[in-house]
Amino acid sequence: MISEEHRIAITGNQAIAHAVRMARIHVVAAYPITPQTSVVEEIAEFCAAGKMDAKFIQTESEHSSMSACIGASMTGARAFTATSSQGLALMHEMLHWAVGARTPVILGEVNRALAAPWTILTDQSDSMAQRDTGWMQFYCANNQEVFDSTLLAFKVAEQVLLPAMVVLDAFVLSHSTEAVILPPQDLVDEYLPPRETPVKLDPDEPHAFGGMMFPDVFMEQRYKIEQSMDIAKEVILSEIEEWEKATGRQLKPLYPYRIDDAEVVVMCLGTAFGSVRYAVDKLRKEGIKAGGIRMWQYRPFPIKQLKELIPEGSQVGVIDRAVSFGISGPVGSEVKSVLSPESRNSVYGFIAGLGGREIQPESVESVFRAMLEGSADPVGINWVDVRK
Amino acid sequence: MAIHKEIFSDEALRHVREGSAKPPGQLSADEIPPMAASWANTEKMPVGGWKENRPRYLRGLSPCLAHCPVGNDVEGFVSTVREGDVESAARLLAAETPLPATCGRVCYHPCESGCNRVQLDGSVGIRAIERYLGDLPYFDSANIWSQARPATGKNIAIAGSGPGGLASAWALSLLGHKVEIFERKPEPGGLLLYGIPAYRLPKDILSKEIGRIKDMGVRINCGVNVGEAKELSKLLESYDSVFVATGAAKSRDINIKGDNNKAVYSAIEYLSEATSGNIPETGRECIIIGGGNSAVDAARSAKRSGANVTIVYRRTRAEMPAYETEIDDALKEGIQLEELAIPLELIVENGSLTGMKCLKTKLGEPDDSGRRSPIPVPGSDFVIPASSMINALGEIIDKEELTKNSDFQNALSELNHWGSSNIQGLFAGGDFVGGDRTVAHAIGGGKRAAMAIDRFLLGKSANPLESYIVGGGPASLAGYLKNGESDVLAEGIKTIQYKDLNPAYFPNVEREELAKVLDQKPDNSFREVESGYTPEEAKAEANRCFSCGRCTNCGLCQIFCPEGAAVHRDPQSKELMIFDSHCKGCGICVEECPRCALVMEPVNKESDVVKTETQ
Ligand SMILES: Cc1cc2nc3c(=O)[nH]c(=O)nc-3n(C[C@H](O)[C@H](O)[C@H](O)COP(=O)(O)OP(=O)(O)OC[C@H]3O[C@@H](n4cnc5c(N)ncnc54)[C@H](O)[C@@H]3O)c2cc1C
Repeated sequence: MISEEHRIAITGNQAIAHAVRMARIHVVAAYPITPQTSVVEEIAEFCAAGKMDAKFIQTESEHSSMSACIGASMTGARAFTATSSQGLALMHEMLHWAVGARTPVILGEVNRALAAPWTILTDQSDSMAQRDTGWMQFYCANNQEVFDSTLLAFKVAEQVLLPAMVVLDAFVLSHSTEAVILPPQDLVDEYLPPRETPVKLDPDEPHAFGGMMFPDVFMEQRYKIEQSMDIAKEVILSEIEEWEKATGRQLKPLYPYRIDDAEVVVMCLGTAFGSVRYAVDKLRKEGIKAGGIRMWQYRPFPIKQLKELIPEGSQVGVIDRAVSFGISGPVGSEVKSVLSPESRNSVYGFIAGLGGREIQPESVESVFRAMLEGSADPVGINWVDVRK
Repeated sequence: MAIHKEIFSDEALRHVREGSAKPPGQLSADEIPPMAASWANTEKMPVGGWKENRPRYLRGLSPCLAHCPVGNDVEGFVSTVREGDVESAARLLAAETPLPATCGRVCYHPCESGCNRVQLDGSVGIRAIERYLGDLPYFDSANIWSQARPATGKNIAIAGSGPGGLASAWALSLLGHKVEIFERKPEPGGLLLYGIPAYRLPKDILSKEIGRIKDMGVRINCGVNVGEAKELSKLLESYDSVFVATGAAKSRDINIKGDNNKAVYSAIEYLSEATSGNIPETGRECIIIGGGNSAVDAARSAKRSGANVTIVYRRTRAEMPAYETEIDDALKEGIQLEELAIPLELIVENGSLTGMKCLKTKLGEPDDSGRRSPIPVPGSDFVIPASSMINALGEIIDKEELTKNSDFQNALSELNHWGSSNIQGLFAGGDFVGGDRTVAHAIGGGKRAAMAIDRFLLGKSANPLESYIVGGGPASLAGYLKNGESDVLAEGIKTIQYKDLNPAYFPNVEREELAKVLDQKPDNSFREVESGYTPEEAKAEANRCFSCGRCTNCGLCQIFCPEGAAVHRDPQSKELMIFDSHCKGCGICVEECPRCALVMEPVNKESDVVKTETQ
């Protein structure tokens, strides 16, 4: 056990693996898929080397991985899996189950576009397609954040009995090496105590789980999921605070950039935010009051923080790396719905960076300009960098 | 981390734990748990009436039992070692064999050939486990056996003190009869002493095994030649029964020029002399003729006394009937193998052997034994140097030596499976009756004859002898003593095959091999080659046993039973049992059982139908 904080150079995937190791996970069930593979490879090596006392299950599919995690979690174990793209799609059924069974499973989700056509490169279409399952989702922009978010995800999930995905961009984070600070194990142990489960699969106090629920209680159960999402918003904030006290590092539901007096704002999730900052700086030099917001906490949706952050009357462009075909990008339409009651802002949905296409500072600049010039469609999809 | 109180309230938790009289629709939001969790366990739901088929624990037969010519409860003693109870394991072994330390060393272990593990990663090292048990102090005295019956007052004479005679004497003593053995050699043991070399079966081990049988009250009269000094007919007059187990140790003649030279021996003669301590003179170049176990034993013995040894065999190594690992060891010890050669004549100069003329052969069509037959190649003769020659062409049964009486000879040629002849009270077994010539078969034959003799002496017992046969193979003495009340003697018991098992539960585990010291220095050259298992190795090896067909109480059926309440452990016996009232007949336990100790049977009688009354 390492008793001191230390800095090591690791990839985003390794950062998840280290966090899972330090969370003293009990069960890891996974099936390999690019670009997630090195997450579970690293964990398998930790297990083989005796650095983790976990049961590692190599399943025959992602559906089974999630099923195994749910089963493990129902016994009170801390369970983890990781996947990407098609793998997450295959898990879909069990993602719902994990929520309904109230199993706080943690999933490392390495964003990769969904086929067809085949690609292994990043966009957010895989995780966005799961936004209605009831999983919490945290989108990261650097490897330290990946590490920190994973531990926080466990802590929050176990309190609110909802599973959580820690989401990171394929290759940009998953396979890129950055310096990451690993806290000492006892700090993690103190931050994340063992899971407490009053009712679980237990031969000494047997119960059947997941049985039929009739209409007289079904909706109450669904309501409780939403209620838990609401509670999670508060729990996340207090856990962010705890983590900051312990490590000095602060996670934020929304990361603002030069937002205070901004008249035109671009929002996105994940690593593309780097380009947003470049574009903001460039426009600011021209005297344009541009700003940016990166969304880390996507589910539960940080409504309150968003409303507080967005300057009144500003134009807001939301870049989605996923499309809800026939209407818009998922985050864009949600931001619209959050800001619409007061009608303080005009919100535009942009689609960019699908299937690994880079979102360059120029791409973001064109988003700003479309809003400034009034050429952006306020209702439909605004495609960025697309040959039409 | 603890759950947020608003998400799983104490009220809701209390409801899950204690249930509620209110229908779910009347629960307050606070009383509803966040997940669908039943208020009671599945005992509330007696779903037994749903089933069309029901599982039942049913003992299947491990193939090792059916394959053991002795009738050992192989799976029984191996799994008992696995469970860490070596004393009980030793007792289980002792219930079926008087010679565990012997078989544990020299048995050709057909049990291992039959072992289902062969199809995964190699058979369980059963023989070595038997040796491990046989060498434990439990076998230091005859106390391991207690006479099963009070003395019957019946007297039995046995001709021959090889494993056949010894096993029969032991079994008859357990059954309460008085036994006297007549042995023509100066010491008892038969081929165990005079055939199998000490480096494979140390003499002190053998004498301990025989000592135990003597301690049971068996008298062994050595130096008595039945047939000469004691006529068979006389024995039959003075004893209630006679068992003949005089073996088959007459050497086949070689009939070539020079075979009357003093440096020409038969394998049996050579090995027998070697055992008695005065190793016959072989000179520098010793030739062995033959490819069987006697050939290899003679070769390795001659090698140990300092000679250069060449085995001359008319086929190739692949056709040699000798045991594979024995040949390997012999070659490793530096013994030469001259394949595809037949001896023509011995070259004698001034009364001394100097060489042997041979003819090359080539392999032709397969013969009756299934092996390709050697065809001499004309003009291919060659000479190899030889200062001595050991004929190991094999051993034959000699009935004439035992009795000149043709009635007896005929009777002894027409024996049934139990060794009974058509002369009242005359039985035979072991090598003498033909069939497989191994120590284990001889012990098995001795045991069978003991049961047949017992039945003959005491009149009909309740069950026919056939009912004591395990899986179509050997007879069980323990079963006989318990009048057939033995799991493995159940009628119609199914021998479990590999395909019946659930291999998902058996990862590959390498077999524990015994350490060997080959090529020993002449000064201690007859020291035992193989060393036995340590307790840890024995347990590790026993751990590889699948326990085919026998419930080991592993509890997987209970884990997998979706009904939860249907498979239970009996609070007293801790055995697993199935509650008919709660078993809905899904069959998952049967599918999942690693060792095929459960079967699915149709529910076909009306009385089988289970009422599903709510408790
Ligand atoms: C060299 C050699 C090595 C072998 N190695 C093995 C091995 O490793 N494993 C294995 O399983 N089998 C082995 N065998 C075979 C095994 O030894 C025999 O199958 C077994 O000993 C047969 O037992 P038995 O009691 O029938 O006869 P035997 O062991 O031959 O005993 C017969 C006894 O009867 C005595 N006898 C004979 N005639 C008379 C008489 N007229 N009056 C009184 N006594 C008489 C003999 O002196 C002898 O003591 C080997 C055989 C040989 C020759």
